[in-house]
Amino acid sequence: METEDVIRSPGTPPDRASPGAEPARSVTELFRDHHLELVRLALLMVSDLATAEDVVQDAFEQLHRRWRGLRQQSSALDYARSAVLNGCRSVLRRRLVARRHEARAAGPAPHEADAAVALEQRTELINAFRSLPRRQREVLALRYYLDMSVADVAATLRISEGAVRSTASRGLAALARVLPPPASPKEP
Amino acid sequence: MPAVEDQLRAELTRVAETVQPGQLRPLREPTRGPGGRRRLLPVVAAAAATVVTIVAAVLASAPSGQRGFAVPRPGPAAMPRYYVTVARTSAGLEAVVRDSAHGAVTGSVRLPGTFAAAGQSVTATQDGRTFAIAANLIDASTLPGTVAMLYFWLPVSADGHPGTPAELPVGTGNGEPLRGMALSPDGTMLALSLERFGLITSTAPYGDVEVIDLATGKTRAWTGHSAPGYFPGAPIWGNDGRTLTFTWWRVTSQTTGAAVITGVRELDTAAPGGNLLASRLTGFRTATEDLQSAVITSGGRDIVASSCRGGDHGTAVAEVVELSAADGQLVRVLRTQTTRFPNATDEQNALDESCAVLSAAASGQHVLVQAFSFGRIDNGVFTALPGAPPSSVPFAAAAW
Repeated sequence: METEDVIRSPGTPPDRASPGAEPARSVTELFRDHHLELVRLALLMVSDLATAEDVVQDAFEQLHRRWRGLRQQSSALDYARSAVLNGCRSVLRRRLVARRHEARAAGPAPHEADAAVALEQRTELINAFRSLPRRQREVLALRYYLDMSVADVAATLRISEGAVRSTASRGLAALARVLPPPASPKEP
Repeated sequence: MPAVEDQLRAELTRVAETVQPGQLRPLREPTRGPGGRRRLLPVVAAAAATVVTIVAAVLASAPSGQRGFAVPRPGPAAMPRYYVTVARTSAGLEAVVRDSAHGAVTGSVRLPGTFAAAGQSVTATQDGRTFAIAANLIDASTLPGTVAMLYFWLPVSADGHPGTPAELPVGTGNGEPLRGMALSPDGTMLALSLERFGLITSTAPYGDVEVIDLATGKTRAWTGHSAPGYFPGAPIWGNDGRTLTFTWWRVTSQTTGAAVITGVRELDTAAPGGNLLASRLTGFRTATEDLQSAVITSGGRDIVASSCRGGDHGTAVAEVVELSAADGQLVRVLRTQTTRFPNATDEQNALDESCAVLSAAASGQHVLVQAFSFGRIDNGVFTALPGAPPSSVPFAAAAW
């Protein structure tokens, strides 16, 4: 079989100078600076490293496209965190569907690196954290992993500060129930 | 409860720090800069191949704003990381996951059952990590020749390993052409475009669209029974998870199966089902002819379509084109391939079965095609990929 290719009308060359080149560099720098932090945040939500990396990659590409649309570029990190959390929600929704088919569809064996990470993560407190409702996990991760203020958490999740406080309080109360009671002070 | 707060802070930090910088894959820079075309809808796998002689055309939907199509969220324009091919082997029907860059196999899995030689179709969710596969099954427990369509759910891990395929609760389309299917953006629903035949085979077929809730198996159907001779093409979901857009075909020859695209329909699936003809139709002034398969891309703005035709002196010509979804007019030719076949049988087989636009990435910038040769087209540049049989053997399905 002889074959001859003719490309009559190739698309726009990808290397054409782009007016967005400067913003693109800024987005790239932002993600380069915060890549690890964002992957770790995603890991707390989705529990496996490969998926966490995918979520961050998607968020990176979203921000790359939306950069000009942001009202203040100083909010880019908040937007990136928010995009990562949105991506995690999508992953968790899909997992929920997949679990319904789980009896017949065992998932793929975890990647070796993922398995090692998973082993490291198993503690009672972390298991309890992962069993919390999604919103509670997000609030607690932003507050106690990223040490964000209540106002910043509210801005990132687009909820009120009161909702942040009450959600955090409910989450902490749920976690407190799985912790062993504090030891009684010894009698002098 | 400071004790809980402190412990939680310590535990979250400990778990997070199980990931160290050296473990991370580097970020891939998007291929298009900000300000480029927005990424759109998930696109669907192309035509299923239960009928050999097909014709088709293409079509696309008009720009989102004009037709009320859901504007998709911006997202990656990057090439999907993996593609899945489904083809018959001596061991049965096999789904193979390959790296999109070079076609290296990252994993494979055999589908349970004894399948017919043709009639597979594949589609993927927007993130390219969940696939649905449709395949014609030969049911050995019943009369010879009895065929059923089975549907499978195939998850793929972030590093390209396929999970175990699970049969989906879909009980439709048996023995009738599946013109395309699409997983909803969140992977919870499967939309099917079906061509139905009446009890009397000499009557013109008609089209149905069905939406199956994959958690419950509940099916909602929209029928085009009152429009014989018309059927829906491969659907795509809007980003809202409820709008379906698909090409609208008219059969021009029941003998050969030839058809043309007459327009694009947009269906709101929020209803419990009903009349397919009540969906919104954007008709083309001139039907788009001489095409054999088409997928709607870029959230409904474009159509990528294929055509194959016999030429002189034992040669045949395949073309992949981009059309405007607004009016069906040619925008550009993405690829032309001229192939010489050793004999008329091989040529006819290739013309019948080896010419299809198989799947497009959401952005529309990356398309999987089999236009005699299998490969991807990135912004108009073709790269051959492994994963499909030679053009003289039955059609292989693929999606990303």
